[in-house]
Amino acid sequence: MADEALFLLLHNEMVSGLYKSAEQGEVENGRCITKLENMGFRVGQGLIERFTKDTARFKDELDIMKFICKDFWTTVFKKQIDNLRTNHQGIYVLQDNKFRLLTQMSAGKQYLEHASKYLAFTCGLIRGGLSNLGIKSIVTAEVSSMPACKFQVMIQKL
Amino acid sequence: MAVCVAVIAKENYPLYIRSAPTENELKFHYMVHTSLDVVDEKISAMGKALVDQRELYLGLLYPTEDYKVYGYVTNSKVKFVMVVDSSNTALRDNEIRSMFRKLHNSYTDVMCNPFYNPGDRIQSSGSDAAEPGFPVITTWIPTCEKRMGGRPGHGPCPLGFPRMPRPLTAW
Repeated sequence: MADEALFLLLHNEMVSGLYKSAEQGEVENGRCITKLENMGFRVGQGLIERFTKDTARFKDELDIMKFICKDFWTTVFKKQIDNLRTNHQGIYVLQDNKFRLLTQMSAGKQYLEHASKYLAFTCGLIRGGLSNLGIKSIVTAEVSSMPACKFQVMIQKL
Repeated sequence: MAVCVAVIAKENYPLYIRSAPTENELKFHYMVHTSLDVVDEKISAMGKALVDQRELYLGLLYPTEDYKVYGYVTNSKVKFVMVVDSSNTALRDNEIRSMFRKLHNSYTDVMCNPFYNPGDRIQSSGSDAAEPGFPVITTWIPTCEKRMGGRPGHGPCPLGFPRMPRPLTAW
């Protein structure tokens, strides 16, 4: 399954490359997470356009979130989201018990403080995908124990 | 044959609009503008019985005495509108659908182009017609919006559609 490793390795290099250039003063420190998120945003926009080319029209917000959890996640990470929870008022929590980008790092509490760097791109990916489908949102991620993580999506009602 | 093709962003401003006969462009701009209302009506929940809610192709939006207007909406709420000549009765539904599919594929490629910022105007590099009068957009070059001076005697469009850059090759 060489194609899985491709994105994984590229993503890890991207994160470490960005932080290295931050150390050398090219990029303002603290802006790295924002940069990663913006990268993910633009990629998410293009990806969603490609993936929804042949699918039927979405009925509502929940339909879109289910698409993200199933088809989108499967195409990018080769697995589905394990758990989707919502309060039906615009907050969705996507739980992935074995997040592909974190499995290689640790299986417990080690490196927990670095996890946020590796989740920023994926947060942007979700945000970009939703924005292209017409939903403004804020996506954050939290990790309590590797490699499980939760993505929280807050829909902004205009 | 398609006389006018338009790609409208989800905020209802035109990303790309091109008409085959170069005179009377304003009439086609106006037709596309008015067809947006029909598109909105078709995709809203009110018109459930009119069109299959799951399909992207909307079909005939409205006919006039000379032209027919067809519509297509993507999942990202980008609308494609096509105006065809009524006199050409040989154009079947399947052909219109395939024209829209090609348009959708081209648009997806533009979206994935790293030099394209979503929301900018799209410029076509020039189109080779697959059959005479049938514009097939081969490559779209994304450019930032350029203010084009209109031809003398042609003022800016009163509806606010800016004048599109001249095509590099004729149809």
